[in-house]
Amino acid sequence: MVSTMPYLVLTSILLPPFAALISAGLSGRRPRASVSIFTGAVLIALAPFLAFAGSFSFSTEGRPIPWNLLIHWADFLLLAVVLIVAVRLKSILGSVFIAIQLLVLLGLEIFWGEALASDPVLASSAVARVTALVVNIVGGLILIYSPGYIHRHFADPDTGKERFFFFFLLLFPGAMNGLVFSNHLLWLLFFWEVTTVCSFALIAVDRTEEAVASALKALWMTMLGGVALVSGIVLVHHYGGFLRLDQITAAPASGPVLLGVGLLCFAGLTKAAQVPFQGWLIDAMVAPAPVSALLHSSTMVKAGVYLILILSPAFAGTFLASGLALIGAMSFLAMGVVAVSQRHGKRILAYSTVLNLGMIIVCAALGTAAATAAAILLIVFHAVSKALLFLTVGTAAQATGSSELDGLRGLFRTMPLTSVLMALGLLTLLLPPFGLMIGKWLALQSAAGRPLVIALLAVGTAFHLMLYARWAGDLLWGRAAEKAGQAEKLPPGARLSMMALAALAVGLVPLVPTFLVHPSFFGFPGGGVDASVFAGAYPGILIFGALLCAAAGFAAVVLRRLPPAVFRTPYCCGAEAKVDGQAGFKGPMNVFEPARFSDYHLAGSFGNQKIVFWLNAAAVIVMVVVAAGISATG
Amino acid sequence: MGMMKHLMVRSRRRSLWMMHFCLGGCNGCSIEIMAALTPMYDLERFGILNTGNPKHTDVLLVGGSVNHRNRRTLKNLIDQIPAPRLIVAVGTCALTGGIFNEAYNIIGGANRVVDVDVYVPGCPPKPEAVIDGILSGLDKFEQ
Amino acid sequence: MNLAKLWVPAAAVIAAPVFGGLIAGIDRKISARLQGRYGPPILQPFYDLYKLFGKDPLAVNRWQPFFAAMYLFGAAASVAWLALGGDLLVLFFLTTFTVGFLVLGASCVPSPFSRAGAGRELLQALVYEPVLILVFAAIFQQTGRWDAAGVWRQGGVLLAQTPLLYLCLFLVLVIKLRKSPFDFSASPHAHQELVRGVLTEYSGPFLAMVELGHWYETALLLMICALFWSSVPGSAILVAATVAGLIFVDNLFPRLTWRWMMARIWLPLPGLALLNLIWLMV
Repeated sequence: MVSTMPYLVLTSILLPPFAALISAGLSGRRPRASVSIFTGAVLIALAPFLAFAGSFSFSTEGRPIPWNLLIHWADFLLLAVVLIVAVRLKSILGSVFIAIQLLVLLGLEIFWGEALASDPVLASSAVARVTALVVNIVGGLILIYSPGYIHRHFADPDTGKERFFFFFLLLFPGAMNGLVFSNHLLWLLFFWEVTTVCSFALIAVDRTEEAVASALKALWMTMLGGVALVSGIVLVHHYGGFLRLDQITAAPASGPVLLGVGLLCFAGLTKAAQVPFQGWLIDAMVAPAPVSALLHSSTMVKAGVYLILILSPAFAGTFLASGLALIGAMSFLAMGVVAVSQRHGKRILAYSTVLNLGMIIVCAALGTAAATAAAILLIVFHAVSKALLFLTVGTAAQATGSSELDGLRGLFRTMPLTSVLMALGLLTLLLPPFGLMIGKWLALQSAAGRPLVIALLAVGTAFHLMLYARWAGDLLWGRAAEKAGQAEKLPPGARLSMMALAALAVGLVPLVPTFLVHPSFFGFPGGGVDASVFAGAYPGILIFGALLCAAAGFAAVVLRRLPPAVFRTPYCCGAEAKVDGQAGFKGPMNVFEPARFSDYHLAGSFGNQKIVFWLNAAAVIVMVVVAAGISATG
Repeated sequence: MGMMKHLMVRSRRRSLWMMHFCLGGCNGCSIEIMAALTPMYDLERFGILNTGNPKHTDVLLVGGSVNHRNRRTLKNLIDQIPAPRLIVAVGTCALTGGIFNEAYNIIGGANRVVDVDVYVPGCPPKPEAVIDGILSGLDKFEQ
Repeated sequence: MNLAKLWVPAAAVIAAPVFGGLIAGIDRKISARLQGRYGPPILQPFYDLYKLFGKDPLAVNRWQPFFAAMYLFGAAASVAWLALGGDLLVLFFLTTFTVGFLVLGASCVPSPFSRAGAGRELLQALVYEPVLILVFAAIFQQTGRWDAAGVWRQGGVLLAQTPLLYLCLFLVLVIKLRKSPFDFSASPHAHQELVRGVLTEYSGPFLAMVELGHWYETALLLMICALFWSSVPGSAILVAATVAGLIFVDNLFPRLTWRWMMARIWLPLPGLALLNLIWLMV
């Protein structure tokens, strides 16, 4: 098995770009759809092997192909192309940040040149393997989902937009696999840039003014992260002589090297859209649903937290860790607060992504075994649940023309399957016994010694409840229309991937201790997660889950038998009436008024604009203080 | 089984959640019903609670006369009261249509639209009479 | 987990509603006496509940009774969890489960009143959920244990070190036990505005299920209070004093509104709790 591992990894990295090239060469919808579905299926099949087939490493020494050189030149080429695009689109910030990166890279090449080779270039740490598992399974399912959605999204298949879309969508999982398996920092940098470019291209895919503006915002913010990444690489290489992740994480860093690690983490923060960089992810929601699902919730933004998590041994217990914990906790609370004032489904999901990533960063910063386990759990379950939500919201938005919460009200009447899956997705983000709750539980437990972090998490959790509970309830208004089951025509790929994601969100829960704790699967940094982290409460949670299933099943069976005669209209002071299945009342002049209401969005207190300025300011101050602190102590 | 049933009858007799609906008229009966709910008469000692919601109601107190418009409202409300329920007509208007009976828009007393269990006469009846009316309807729950 | 000990949660699941119902009955009786009335019998809540179970089931849709059942299940499971001596943080998440399904049940019907109640319930949750976490964090700080069994065994009067936190917990109880604000999510007083808030659309046996769930919640919160003086007589005194305090507060401040709650209680409450927590740490 170990001997085939490099080939599997190389397949997972090289197959997607290959498929992307093929699909770009094809004309017609069907062949492109087949390529997408085929690639998705292969990635899903590969995922367990990548995750569970043991560790591996890949060296360039003595290979016929000059891999290092290829990667370096590809990086230059990529940045140069994006620079041209950015200049043509008149993005000043974007161009400047890309130019800086190019210059720094050039400097690296000139001053160090040959010394930049360092083996192994690819390796698989435990965190990398879990992330790969998520990337490939969730990513694969989204590739299977996409054709059905995108065929409705682009009316005309031959404008090139669809080709463009599939090219970057297919390219992306390869870049992501490359990123998580990179050990050499410059390889990491290359794949990092590819994901940035994929994200930029896919946000802009609709070519509307709004889409392009959002894409450029994403570009400059993540390219700023790129600048931090190359600067970090320069620092850790110059002062520590490090070129690989395994060197950095071997021992706690200090002085300028810690500052370099801090810059790498800063890059992670921009990618994970933590405050003050949350803006790009929120605006990225103009992209089609599969893009939001794949890049902006379940996998690409995880690259940021992945980098921070994998670096955590290097900064554990330092000033940097406290700063990161504070930034993460601030994102967690503030995004929850801001999201409550929102009415747009996809934007709420984006805010909730930022806040969950904040929680993961808190865990990475805490750095204990339990916190690491929490981070992994959050990465896995958040990816699954959030992908499910984006896909269901996308499906519903396509059918109803609205992804406002008000538009999704009573979706159950016309789209029973989609609405129930969406509600399930919302509940798995929130309630026991689902995975995110287990992660949060471990996170809170690890944060016990830090009252400020715990307070931020506590208040944030309450906002979470407010966000999701009313949304889930809203969806299930009313009774399913007689023929809703037949009326809800979903493309088979969409149905399959949504159901599979729902099954994963629920079905992975009992597997947590086996696949997270078992030493033969993943050994974690800091001595590994031993079973004692889960002891005590975990079996109880499982029993709760089992009882819940039993109770829910029993209730469902009993309630199915309720005869139609028991159903009455809601109370409207005796004036109630029902027209076309819509509940309401007879108003003045015998005119029917549908029931209406609005929720507490607390927009007066928590309007986006009001809070975001101060939030960003606070985050910048924290970052400056942390940087100054590290420099001073170094 | 017998005991459970006995307990159920007892519970029904002891726990009466009432709602009051005024169909129209001079509102005198409403005022007397409200008076019966004050601490002075302390209806809660009989387990009687005022609810504003037919879905929680056991006893509906109807005052005023039925017309073509409020007839639908009354039917809607009663439709939302889960059985077993007690319907008490309070005051002359609810009994017969009262002084408004001959008006062009009036259908008559509450019993023209719904099955009334207890009639409390008076224009308006005193609070004591209202309480007595509610409690004398309790035998319906024996069945 | 010791399987032989399973009788404890089983007994708690049976005893808790009896306890919760009795508390409700005593409350109604004492409140009536305070207002110069005779008041209903102590067993009145049980008559009410039993009657409700015997009424015809009416519902708006199938989800609504389903969520009521889940709410009841969540509330009973929380009590069982605490009786089992389970992890307090998990208990916190179980309470979110309970509240979540109450809100779901209220918001899955196209009824303005019910929805308004659901909104209120969420605002209330916004006030009390953070405090609950901080209370548990403080208990951990003091005893070094997350599991309730360990906390209880450790004994001692936690209250002595955590007076501010207990005050916060008391205010949480005021909200959770539906004392104040008077226009809370399921208010029986705010007819004109809310009808009956989250409970508006439930009737008969389904309403009984929600009511039963509420008794479980009452019992659960008082059990959490008992942890602050972990000895049998001590906790009995503490719980009795707390309940008495609740009834008096209710009768002294019967007309505080939710706006007042959000403006005056919401941020100070976690702040106070945090203050106490920091005090414990230094």
